[in-house]
Amino acid sequence: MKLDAFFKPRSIAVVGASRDQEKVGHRVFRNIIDSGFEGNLYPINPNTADLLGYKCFKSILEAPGEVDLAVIAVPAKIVPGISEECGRKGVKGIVVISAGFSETGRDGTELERKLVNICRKYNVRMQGPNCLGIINTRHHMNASFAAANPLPGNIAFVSQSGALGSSILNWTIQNYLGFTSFVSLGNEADLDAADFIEALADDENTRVIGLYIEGVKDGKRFMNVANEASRKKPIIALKAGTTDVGMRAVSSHTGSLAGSDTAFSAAFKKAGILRARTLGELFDLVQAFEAQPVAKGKSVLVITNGGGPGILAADACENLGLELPSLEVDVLRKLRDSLPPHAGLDNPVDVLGDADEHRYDTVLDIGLRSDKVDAIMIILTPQAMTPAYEVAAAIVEARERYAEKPITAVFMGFDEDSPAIRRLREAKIPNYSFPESASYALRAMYDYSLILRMPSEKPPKPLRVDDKSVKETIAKARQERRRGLTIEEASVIAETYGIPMPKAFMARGRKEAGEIADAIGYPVVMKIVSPEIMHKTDIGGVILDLGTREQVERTYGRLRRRTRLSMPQARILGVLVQQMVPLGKEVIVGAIRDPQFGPLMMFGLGGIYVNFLRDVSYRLCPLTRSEAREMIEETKAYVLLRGVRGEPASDIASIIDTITKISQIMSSHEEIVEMEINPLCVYEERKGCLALDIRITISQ
Amino acid sequence: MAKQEIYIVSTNELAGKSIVTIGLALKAKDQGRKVGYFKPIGLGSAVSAEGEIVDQDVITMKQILGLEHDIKILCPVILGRDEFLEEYQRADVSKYSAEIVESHKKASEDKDVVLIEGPPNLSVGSFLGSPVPKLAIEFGAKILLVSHLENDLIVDEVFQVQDYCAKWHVSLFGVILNRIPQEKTARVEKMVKPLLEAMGIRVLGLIPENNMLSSLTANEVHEAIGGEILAGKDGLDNIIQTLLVGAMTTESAARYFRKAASELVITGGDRTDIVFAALEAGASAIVLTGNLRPSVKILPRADDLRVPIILVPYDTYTTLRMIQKIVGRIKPLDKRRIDIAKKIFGEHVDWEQIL
Repeated sequence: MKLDAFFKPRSIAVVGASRDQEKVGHRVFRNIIDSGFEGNLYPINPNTADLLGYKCFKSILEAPGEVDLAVIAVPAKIVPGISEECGRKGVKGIVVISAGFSETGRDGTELERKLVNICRKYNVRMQGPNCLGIINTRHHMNASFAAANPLPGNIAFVSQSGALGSSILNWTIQNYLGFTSFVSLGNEADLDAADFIEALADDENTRVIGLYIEGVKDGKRFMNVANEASRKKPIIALKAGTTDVGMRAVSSHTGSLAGSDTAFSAAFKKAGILRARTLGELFDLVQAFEAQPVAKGKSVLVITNGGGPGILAADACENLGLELPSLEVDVLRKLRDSLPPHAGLDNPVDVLGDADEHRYDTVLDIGLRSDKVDAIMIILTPQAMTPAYEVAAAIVEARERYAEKPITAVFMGFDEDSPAIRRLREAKIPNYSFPESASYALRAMYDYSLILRMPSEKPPKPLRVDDKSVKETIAKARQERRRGLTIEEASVIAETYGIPMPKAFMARGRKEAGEIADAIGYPVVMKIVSPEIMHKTDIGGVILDLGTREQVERTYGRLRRRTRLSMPQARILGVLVQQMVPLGKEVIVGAIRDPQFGPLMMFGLGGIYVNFLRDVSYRLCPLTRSEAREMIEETKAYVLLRGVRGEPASDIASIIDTITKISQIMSSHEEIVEMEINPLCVYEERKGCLALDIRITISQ
Repeated sequence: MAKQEIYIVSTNELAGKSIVTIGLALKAKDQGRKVGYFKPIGLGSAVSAEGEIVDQDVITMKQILGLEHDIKILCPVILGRDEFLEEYQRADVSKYSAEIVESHKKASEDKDVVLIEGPPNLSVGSFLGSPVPKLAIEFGAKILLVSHLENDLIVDEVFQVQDYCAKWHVSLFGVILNRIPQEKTARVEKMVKPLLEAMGIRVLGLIPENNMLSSLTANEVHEAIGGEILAGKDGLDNIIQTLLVGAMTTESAARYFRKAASELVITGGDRTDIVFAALEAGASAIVLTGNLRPSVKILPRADDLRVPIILVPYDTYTTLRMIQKIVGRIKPLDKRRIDIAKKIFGEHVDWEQIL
């Protein structure tokens, strides 16, 4: 396992271990003892002879044996000096708990840089600074100042917030949830979330990784690590700062730009990370994954002793895209014989209020054997004669008999300390208070099975193009300190990469407009071109279907006058005279360069309503063709593209082509920060598409 | 070579007389000629070290050319900005024209080329009996018109100047069209220039709009609005071309900043998110208003990226107005702008025809 020095140290020194019970150094030292750490333990404190039965050393250099891990809890300003000593001692890892670094401003940032340089010099890895510490229950090590000692289990939790971490620890103890490891990241000056995820992915005791993050330091590395780790075990992330106000709070908390939520969603999707929206969801999911097998499909059998909760479960499953299939006919016949005549046999199966463990067991057994069922949800409501403990025991036994399908329990309204719940918990059968949470967990388990089955497709081979003209175009605009490319410049780029556009030229005079139209052939479309006008149709800046030269020349003046009147400040670069092309379905294909994750592709319904309907989907580049297809399928526009009301289907393959071409453009030309084709006019199958307008923004 | 007197005039303020005057001055100097400068009627636009109201252009040119004459010689008559008639009401106006002629004589003594800078338009000074064409005759100067090209009305403007000069029986030597927007260059070449030439007017230069000349540096903004530089002192030379107010959501701020070139972002000290978005988008400088100190966490990042963060007590609107006031002014010893002015003048003006 990577980062062994942090997760499985053979010896630990606590620098700043103190007799003063109020001090963090004391708390950490005592936690290590209380957790039953079996390796060598050295308290370092020049003013104390011994501490809790251990001999104190004046400096880490005096510790008699090798030291794998040093936990540092001394005032920030002396941390660099201590780290220097750790380096000289040959310590492999340090956990800096002390605060007072980059989170406090300029001096702290300077101090943190110094600290990182020392670590690099001695090849020591560092967790923190400004963190809660690290816990590995399987190694009997709680090197944190958390108030409580977590229970052992199979969940690893990595948190960017120390305070949240310690609350969560307390909460999990109350709810009997067990951990392998708990890592508080602090300022991530050296080791970051990606490093710990990478290590935990190879930890045999960890079945699932929970993650609380506000932002990532290095988006590309995070993606690479998560992508591999998520194929080994599920990663469930709770990303905070998803709203505008939340993003502002992230900025002032972490001292960094909060990543755009869209980019994070796309990153999670690409890396196979499951996303929880709330803390509650995060724990619902880690519980589900701690010991359950992966669901093979989305068919759920719901068994209930109450009609109402069964219906709620059915609704919740359906809303989440899960299915409740009917059981096989011969199975139903068998059930008819063994259940009371008024029991409901259709899924959800209602075993009735007076059901005992045998009735539950009969249906559960059938479900576990049935090919039509991928996962089971068992709902139990407390009614007069309900043998809750026996039902729980029957579930546990069934689990032991059939290990392949996930089972979730919904024992509604039971005390966490009741024998039934305890029985479930011991066997690590996830139990939820409500059917909705159980459905959500089952959906996540199905999602994870999809992630595991995700083919490892490579992005298509880049087209071989001679992009000299593209580079020159971009260089020229940059030299002129422009950030927007003109339509003519954008066309050069589109043409180089084989994105089809209608014939078009810019006219700077009335006569020229007429000449261009003559050359293109009628009818033509005319559009005003101005860097200040984002939405041309709003000011009547687009005129369609001009059939004669006379009309074109008249329209030239009319467009300019209109623009002058409605937007006097706008600079008019000219009028674009474009070949009028037949109507097709209008979609939008675009990309922006996310500062953390790189190019982010966008697809959606196009034309003038795109800003209002927000029917769009996103993916991070580089894109595979399947991802491009998924992007299209995720939108409502897809329904239209497949053809409705007898319309023929549109050429979806040509959209996929365009998406992958833009993905290539964004990957090849770092200077492009944003580009958008709107509308991309899509025709019938095998008839292709045309980019009617292209907008490109470059960096300065 | 005989002594040359060139009268550089315009029909409104900010036409760009300075760039032409500086350009001609530096070219003539390069030729090894002794260059003088004279502004018969100045407008009070600055206060000198001695507390007197002076014309800023005169101070600038005196320094660029290293002239020894007193400012009062280089610019004998100073009009107040708006109201000045009281001063001249009972005076004998002929006294002023005499003074102008006398000062001009001193200023042009021993010079090979004298650049005479006109007032904002040709009629200024008429009430003193000294409009531009009349003085041009007195000085024996040729009149060079500098016009800011905004639209097709430029043509009428030039014809009007030609007419006005004709009334005094002097001819217009030629015109330089200045600050031509990029999108209009082709049109000016093809339509405007031939039309003017057909009317017998020499078109001596077509100078495109140059946003480097009108751009500011972070330091100039700081000089204009004051305030405290909290971070990013190394970036005070950063060029500013766009002013943006950051009052939107974080995500839309990122969108705006992505499209802006060399932007100065004005926002409140509490908008840590906007500041970070601006820093990451490569802003040139950031002004925080309302004397609200930002989170200390942004300062090291601003230092690293060399983006000055300036804290001011004003509200956003006041700050914006204060900055807008200084856009487009060349100040003495402003080496950056003087260099740019010289360069674009040399590239776009047929100066050999003038000198």
